[in-house]
Amino acid sequence: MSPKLKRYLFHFAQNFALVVIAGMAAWGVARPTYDFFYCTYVGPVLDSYACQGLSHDFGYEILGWMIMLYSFFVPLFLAALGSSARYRWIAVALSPMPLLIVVGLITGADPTIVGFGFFLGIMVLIGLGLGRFARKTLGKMPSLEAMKKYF
Amino acid sequence: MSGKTIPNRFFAAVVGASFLFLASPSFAAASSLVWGNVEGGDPVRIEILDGGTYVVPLNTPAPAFIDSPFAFFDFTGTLYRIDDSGGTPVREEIATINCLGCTPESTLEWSSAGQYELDLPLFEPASQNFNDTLKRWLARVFFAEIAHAQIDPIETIHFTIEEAAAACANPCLSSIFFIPGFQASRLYQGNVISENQVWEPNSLQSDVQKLYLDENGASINPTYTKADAAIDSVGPFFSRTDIYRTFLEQLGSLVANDTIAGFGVFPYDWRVSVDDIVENGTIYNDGTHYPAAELESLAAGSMTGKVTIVAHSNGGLVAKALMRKLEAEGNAGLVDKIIFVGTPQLGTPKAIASLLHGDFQNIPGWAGFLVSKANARALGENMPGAFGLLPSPEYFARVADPVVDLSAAPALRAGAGLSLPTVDSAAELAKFLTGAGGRAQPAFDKIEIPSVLSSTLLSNATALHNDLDTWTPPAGVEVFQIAGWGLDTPKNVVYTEKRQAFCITASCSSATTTHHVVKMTEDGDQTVVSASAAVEDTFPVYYLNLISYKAETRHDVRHAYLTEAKPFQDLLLQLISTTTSPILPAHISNTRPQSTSAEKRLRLRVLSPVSLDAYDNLGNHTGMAPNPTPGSDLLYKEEDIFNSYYEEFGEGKYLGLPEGTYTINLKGLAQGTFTFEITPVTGGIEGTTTSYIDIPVSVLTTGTTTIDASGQLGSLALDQNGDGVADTIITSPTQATDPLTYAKLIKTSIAGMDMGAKTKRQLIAKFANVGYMIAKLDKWENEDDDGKETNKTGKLTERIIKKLGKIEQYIKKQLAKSAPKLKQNKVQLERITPAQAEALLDMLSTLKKLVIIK
Repeated sequence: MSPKLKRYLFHFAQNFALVVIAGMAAWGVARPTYDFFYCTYVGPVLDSYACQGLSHDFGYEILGWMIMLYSFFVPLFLAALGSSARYRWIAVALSPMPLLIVVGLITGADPTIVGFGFFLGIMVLIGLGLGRFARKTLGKMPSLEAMKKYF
Repeated sequence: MSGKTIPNRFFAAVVGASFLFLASPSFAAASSLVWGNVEGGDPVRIEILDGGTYVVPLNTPAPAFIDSPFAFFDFTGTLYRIDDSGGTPVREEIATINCLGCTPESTLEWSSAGQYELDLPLFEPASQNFNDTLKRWLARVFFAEIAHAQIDPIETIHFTIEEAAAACANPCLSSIFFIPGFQASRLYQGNVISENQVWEPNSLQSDVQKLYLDENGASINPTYTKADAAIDSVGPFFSRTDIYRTFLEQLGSLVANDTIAGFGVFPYDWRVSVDDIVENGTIYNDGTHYPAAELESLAAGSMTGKVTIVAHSNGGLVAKALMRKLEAEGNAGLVDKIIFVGTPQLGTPKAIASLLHGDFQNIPGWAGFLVSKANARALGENMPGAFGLLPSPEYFARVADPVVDLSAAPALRAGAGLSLPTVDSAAELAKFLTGAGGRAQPAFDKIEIPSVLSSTLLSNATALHNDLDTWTPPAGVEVFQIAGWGLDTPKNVVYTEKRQAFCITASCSSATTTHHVVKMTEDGDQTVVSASAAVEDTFPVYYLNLISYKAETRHDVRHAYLTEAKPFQDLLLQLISTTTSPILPAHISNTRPQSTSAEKRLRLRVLSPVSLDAYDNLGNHTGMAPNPTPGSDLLYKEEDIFNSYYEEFGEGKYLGLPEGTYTINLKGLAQGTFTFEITPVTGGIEGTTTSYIDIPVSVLTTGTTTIDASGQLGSLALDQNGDGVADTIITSPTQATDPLTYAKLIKTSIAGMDMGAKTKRQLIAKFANVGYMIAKLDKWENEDDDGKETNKTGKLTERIIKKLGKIEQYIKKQLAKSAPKLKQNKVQLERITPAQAEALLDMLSTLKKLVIIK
């Protein structure tokens, strides 16, 4: 295996793992934050009757929140810890989101889907901002090799 | 003593004893039919005498014989059942019974309850009774000459048989027949090879569209359900919500521990009318299933030969229709108890919002990916099952609250052909729902405009309710009602209309827009108001306090899954048992729970675009607050005032406060007008609402008012230019409707607007002029009326209206000229923005109305 291919595969595996971790984080965080965060700050903006049990939610209320969290964690993890081409990876990993909105609009979902897309955008931007900040902070820390010289 | 004398003496003794015996009064006993097993056997032996009534288990074979004074020789009796179903009693021979000791022994089982007759040969002397072996032997010796001589007339034993519980373990309980609620059965289309589950839906919009019905209420696509299709739980695998899961497990465990013999669940196509389900059955994957047949089959295997019906939500209406059918077939005796759980017996107002606007039916609520509101409404429009959930005439007889409020929607009122502003009768509701005044059917996606419903389906539903609402259980059937209580439940729909200006880059137009809000009561389970689920003067009622239950257990139970609440499951065990316990499970009561707002509370509401904040004497705040998370622009809700709440629904912002003294701050968020309302609530009952209507507002506007301990609203101080000084003080809501005050409000509002200087000057001058004219009008009106003033004021009013019309033209003209232009390398300020134009035109419209009313 050529070193170039090896390097490429390593970068691929690293970014892919971060996307998977972002998905798992969204899954894990959604449930404990759903009641106190989503139902209080996000849901009521999209749906006047969110979380009130007046509508059928069929569990999809929490799925919406999970998608939002995924849109937050993907740019956060990839921007902070991603390897080369991380922004392209962010774009690819989040590409289903605009697709979801477009398909929703085409198939005739409620107009509130635009608001949902707006929230997704906010989550992406916050995640991206925090990720870049984290990357800079991590970059300022001494490397492992440098630390080994001292300890 | 010689050997000869002993037999002679013995014979003489026997003969003497026999005569003594025959002469004794005990011989007077009559013949009888003996049925059952000897002591300890099952069924227990009984002796059937003439004129008696006997309770026996049906279809249970047991030994039978005729016990007669003349049972010392063989004879038979003939048993008849009296069939009086045709009016005239007819004897129907069902068996011949042999005598005691006859060969062979007879076996008899009772196939039905009713009147019976047993014919026996009558012997002389008829009154003699040899009822033990010795006596019979003696009789054989002395009366041998009449043996086998069956002599007329016939002796007939008349008796009545009643059905009894079959033998079962103690306690002996009936099997349970469960009927699920509306939308709680899965529906399928296609076939075994390519089956598609269309409910609950799992594809974008298409599943719900496949469920559409035609205008007669018939399914367009063939649809079926399955025996196991009652929804146990729903949602993605990581977040499933139990609907009937633990309840069905409870029923399963009752069978497993032999408490009941079995249970049945009857999933059904909930789109069709409940009487249709009962009469025509519902299509399953293996053919049509009829609830009556399923119930009869369950009863046959029940320990008691009967069934207890447990009916959730719409299942209760199915149960009532089913009872009507069973009664007509003479099978009502197969049911011993009916337990209604959250059944909208008289309909519920939530159905109005759902049918007219698709409210609460979109999935998920935040985007309607799977089912949009428009599709949900289109599905409901031809759905007889949904029409059956609308408030019935009996609902209006019992509930005083109107279900629709059209006070602020005159066009809708006209479109419904209604003269009164509120809908509080079935006839008025029918007019409103069907647009009796000529309301047009809105476009598919215009969900804010109420739909026009089918008058045929509505009258069918009304006729159905007229029948079901008057249903009373037949003798021997106990009925219990369980109602969820404490959750905000829709109680009426309030419509508002507004003449709204729509301005784009350079032109304006105006149109009447319709908006609606759904008002809530805590007296329900989020779907069914308890007045409908618990019709108090009919059957025993049990209230399940969902608020206290959640507070104690954190288990969030709502209408759709009331059966998942532990107190309900505990109560069910009590209700199905043969003994009643005086101690009810926790969170269950026979009386309506005390309102959590028994104390006086205040409900405040603003319609956009202003923020709403409340502060108590200690500085505690309830309302929206800056998000403490750095960098986050997500809104943060603060509810620091004890026992307060803050909510935003659609265009409205709502604030609930306990009784006390508060300062209320309002802050403009955009150009426009706002309405501020305060309603005192005592013991859950709303008092009179005080309103400030259509107050002009801009982003610079702030308003402050106070509420005193008695709940009275103080004056509203408005700072419209953002300089921190109140520009206008409105002392009372009525003052806000004074044209002069309103004109001043507009003027100060313009002063605070960021617009072209010349335009602003012109507008202020124009409104000052209008204000002057209105003041003059006031003055003339207050002068002594000598007859001349009337003419003068009329003319002046016309002039004011004309002036306002000119201002309207001026605003539109300025907007048309407002495109930003580069002049001397400087970007000039727009003369007026579309938002400002819109707001001013709305204010002008309100001012015109106030001048005309004056």
